[in-house]
Amino acid sequence: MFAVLLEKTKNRPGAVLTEKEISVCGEESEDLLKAWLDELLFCYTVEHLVLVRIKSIDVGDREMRAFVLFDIFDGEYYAVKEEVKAVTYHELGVKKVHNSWQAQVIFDV
Amino acid sequence: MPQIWDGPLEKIDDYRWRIPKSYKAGMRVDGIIYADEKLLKDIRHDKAAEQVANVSFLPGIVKASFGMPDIHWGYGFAIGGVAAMDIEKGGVISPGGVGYDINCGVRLVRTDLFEKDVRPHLKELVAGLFHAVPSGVGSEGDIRVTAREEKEILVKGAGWAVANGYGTEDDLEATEERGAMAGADPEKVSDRAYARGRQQSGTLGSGNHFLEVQAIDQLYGRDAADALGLAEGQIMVMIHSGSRGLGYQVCDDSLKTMNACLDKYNIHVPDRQLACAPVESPEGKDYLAAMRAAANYAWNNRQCLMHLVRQVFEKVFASSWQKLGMRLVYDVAHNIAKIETHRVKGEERMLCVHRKGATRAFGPGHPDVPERYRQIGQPVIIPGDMGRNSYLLVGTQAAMDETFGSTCHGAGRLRSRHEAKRVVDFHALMKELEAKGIVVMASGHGTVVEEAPSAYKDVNDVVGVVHNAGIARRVCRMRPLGVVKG
Repeated sequence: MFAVLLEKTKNRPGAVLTEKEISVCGEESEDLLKAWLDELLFCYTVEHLVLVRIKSIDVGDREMRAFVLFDIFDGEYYAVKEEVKAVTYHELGVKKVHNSWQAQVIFDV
Repeated sequence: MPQIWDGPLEKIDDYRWRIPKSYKAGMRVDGIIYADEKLLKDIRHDKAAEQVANVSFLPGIVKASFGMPDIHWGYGFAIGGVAAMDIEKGGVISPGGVGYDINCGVRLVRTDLFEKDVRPHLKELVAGLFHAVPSGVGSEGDIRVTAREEKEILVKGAGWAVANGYGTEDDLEATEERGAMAGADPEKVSDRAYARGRQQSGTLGSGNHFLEVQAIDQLYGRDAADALGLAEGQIMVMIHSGSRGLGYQVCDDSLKTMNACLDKYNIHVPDRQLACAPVESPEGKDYLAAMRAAANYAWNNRQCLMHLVRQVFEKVFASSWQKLGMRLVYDVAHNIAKIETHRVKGEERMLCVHRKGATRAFGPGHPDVPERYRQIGQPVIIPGDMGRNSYLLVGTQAAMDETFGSTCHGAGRLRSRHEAKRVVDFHALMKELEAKGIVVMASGHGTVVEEAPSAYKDVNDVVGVVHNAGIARRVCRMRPLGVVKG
């Protein structure tokens, strides 16, 4: 999603990252995925936080907890590409393929 | 090669095509698409027609699931769709049937200026508008409001702006719903929605939102043009914007709630984005109250934007906006759900009319049309693309009889944003527009190429269909002179 939202134009020397704990829940894996992306989108649009790295993540059947490192958005280091209005339910899907998971999500831009 | 939709489209006449309800088990009514042969080919290039069929699954739907000639693929509901549900018969309301940008809409401002007056100042004017009106992704405005004022805006809509000196009572007279829907409840709007909408009052936004300085290049029939005080060559200003982050979040919150209650009401939908609840259910009522609040936010926003536009014209032409004749012609919503009374099978029924990428087009004599326009019908504003035309139409009795008083909303996208970015060259496009005498300013190259004329159907074709089908009547056509894009 962040690749849709923006791109990094140059490295910020001495950047101090912000750590946040994000916990979401959902009835099904699709709901969990959407809730996770909703949370990240909210962090970006309201708090201007750009995801840099997921430090740790714990995914259960109905909940997900992660510690995430964010950079603060600064137009000098990031170029805005698109506005994502929302993470839609349209054709949202999560499926297990061999030993990994494959997801499809459509953003309203 | 893109996949062609090969479902059934039975010809009713030259401008109407039917998807019979026998097409899919679960369809409650037919789908009806307004198009000519040319537009039908474009419509078959995406899944919009399938989405028209899917909407007909929704409980309480009456008459048909309609697609306007500018219809194109959307999320769940197609963009350019109209669907009305009978409230007494368990009819539902669906946030997806309104869209994320609640009360995305257009307003049209007339002026006493003519092209010869504006042309020498065009670059200065467009630059002035670009700098005065905050635009682009996540743009923030200069109109700062307190938390209490924020809630007032959600109730009073454009009336808040007028009360605070950003317009006049006359502007409200020329705004759908007088710029504020009754029944809005700010307490039904989540903290997240407030957070996303904060500091965005008086901002244009990005994507297909724009400000255009246009000149009337063709009049159709004198009666309506005279009633609207319009003449060939006259300068108009069009503003296209919506409810910004606040509206997006209201839609998203409500979709979550309604997805969770589909089982409760035993509703089956073919796509989760069509999640809905009975209008009379607690979930339906909550959404309606929050949606109205977001709609009011959007009307206030467009009123504030018009105020900024008037200020720029005052500066450039060294005269007051009143002396420049900058009167609001009309403001219409094209993403909204409304409770309206319409005749269905000869009976007056209370319906929840969803217009997603469709414009209300009430005919002459309707009490909801402002008195000044009651003889000619409600003004309908149809933005096109930045290289061709836009239109002013009026609503008709045929629209009342057929489409719950609804018509098209724009040109309709032909290419996805992604595809437009891939095939359109920014510099070549700017040259092409410059050759036509069109001055463009935008926050980024990306938006300009995404919004290139070739990314859209020809609005002249779209308007031709609604005019010939009788679900709106042409009044005048405009062509762009100056464009500000988010």
